[in-house]
Amino acid sequence: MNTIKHILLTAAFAFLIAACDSGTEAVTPGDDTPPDETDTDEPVLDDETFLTDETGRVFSYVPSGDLLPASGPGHTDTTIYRSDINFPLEDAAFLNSQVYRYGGSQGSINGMDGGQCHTSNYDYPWQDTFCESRSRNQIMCPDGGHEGVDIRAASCIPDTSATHWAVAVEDGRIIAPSSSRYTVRLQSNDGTLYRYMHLKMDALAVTDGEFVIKGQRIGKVSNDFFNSAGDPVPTTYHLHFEMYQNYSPDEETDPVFDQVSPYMTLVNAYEKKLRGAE
Amino acid sequence: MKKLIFSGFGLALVITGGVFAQTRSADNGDALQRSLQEKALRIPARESAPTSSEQGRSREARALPRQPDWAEVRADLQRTANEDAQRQTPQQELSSVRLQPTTAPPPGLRALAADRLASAEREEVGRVLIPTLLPAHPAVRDKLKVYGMENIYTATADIDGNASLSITGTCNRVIGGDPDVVEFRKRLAEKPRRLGGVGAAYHISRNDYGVDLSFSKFGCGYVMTIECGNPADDQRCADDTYITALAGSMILANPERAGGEQ
Repeated sequence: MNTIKHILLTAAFAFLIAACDSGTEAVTPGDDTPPDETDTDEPVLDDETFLTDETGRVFSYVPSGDLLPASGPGHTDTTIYRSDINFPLEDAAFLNSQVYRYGGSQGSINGMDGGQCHTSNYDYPWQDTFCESRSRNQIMCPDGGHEGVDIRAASCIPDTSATHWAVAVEDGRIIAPSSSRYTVRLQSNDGTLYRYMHLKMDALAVTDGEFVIKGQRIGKVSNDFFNSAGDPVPTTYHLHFEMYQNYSPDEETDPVFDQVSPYMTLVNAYEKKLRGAE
Repeated sequence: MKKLIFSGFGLALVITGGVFAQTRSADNGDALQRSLQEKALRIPARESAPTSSEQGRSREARALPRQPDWAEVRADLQRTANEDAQRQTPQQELSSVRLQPTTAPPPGLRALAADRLASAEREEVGRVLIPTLLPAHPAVRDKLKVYGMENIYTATADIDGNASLSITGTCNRVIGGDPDVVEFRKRLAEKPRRLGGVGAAYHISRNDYGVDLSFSKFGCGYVMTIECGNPADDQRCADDTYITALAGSMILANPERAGGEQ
């Protein structure tokens, strides 16, 4: 009798371990994401009919606000705030999570164990990371969220040692005093403020206060960052990009000048870039 | 002996379970990537600008160039001057009041000519066509560097080795866009807090590097940012007191735009 009990207990224990580890499976994509809105009556098109990048890959993107499982509720915002800006990188780019994917500290939550150079980090589709879970209380993410989007360059720099340039999205002025240790700001005369973070700060292509034109190189995508003690600590290689707008819901309401989701603005800019319309 | 055999069997089951779980984990990552690909949107090569139209929303925000309300600026300056006169306190002294939470200067907007700013070049402030508001705290004021353009300006200052400040202002607006965002923003605007000094509606956000305080005044929008080396533990970023005190101490650096220094 004891023997049977022992076998049952052991088997139950082993089953429990397997179930715990595959717990992320209980949060599969589809469970907490909106229905696939591409499933319409539209005719099925082959890949050649879709917009591709310079390497021939079809560009695709997950809708705004649809974040990875267990990475926060996100914030759906289909607004294109600036339809005339350039994309902030010269080459192909991949928007996705630096934290909840391969190479990120929380990647294992989604079964994405591995390094930052995992091939799927450098492939489409793009995915939104605005309002991705953080401890911070951004206005548009009341439960705490990431206030910009993260952009990987065309190739994984630790593997390729390639140089990938960040560029001015529009004409404006560079704000990069020495106190901004890992941030370069660009203000445009129309009233938009952009933040470029984690560039190679000791080799910027611009100077503090310089007037720049749209498309002008600002700096190299890198991993400059600091820890809470103020010591330099590298992050993953990517550009963290933010966009501040003096936004009013209508003409009567007082504006709030704060960070907005740049996701669809960047989708629009990237589309123009792929069409050669920048 | 039997116990040993069963224990070994149990251990084997545990190890098998672990390996199984690890494989499943990798499978989960692959499956997740596939699911992203399946639901991703693609853009037809021949069509132009179809982005997000699948969701059937009006989505392009509209830029709205705006002029500041200079009449309100003049009225605020005059009101503050009158109140200061009643207190019989010299204006210059007031604008130099040391900013401590318990010793904030009396409410109101005061003017300071650009040539009184130690490090903000007169040319920079002179380039700006909108009300250029700067914090009056002497320790900050003397370190400000202004980046002026006609419709936008930013001023930055290194507070000390562990914290820096910036303020950006513009009167141009962006309106509309995603209907859900429009509704959210309308609700947000219903219950703003008010700054003690200039009486402006404001909101606070915390982010990767510190804290933002956004306020609107004279029909324009301003955002002040304090960046801290350690935002979670540095009270200047972790607590609202410091940034609201700075934002409540604004002086007008280009009073000539409002019709002369008050």
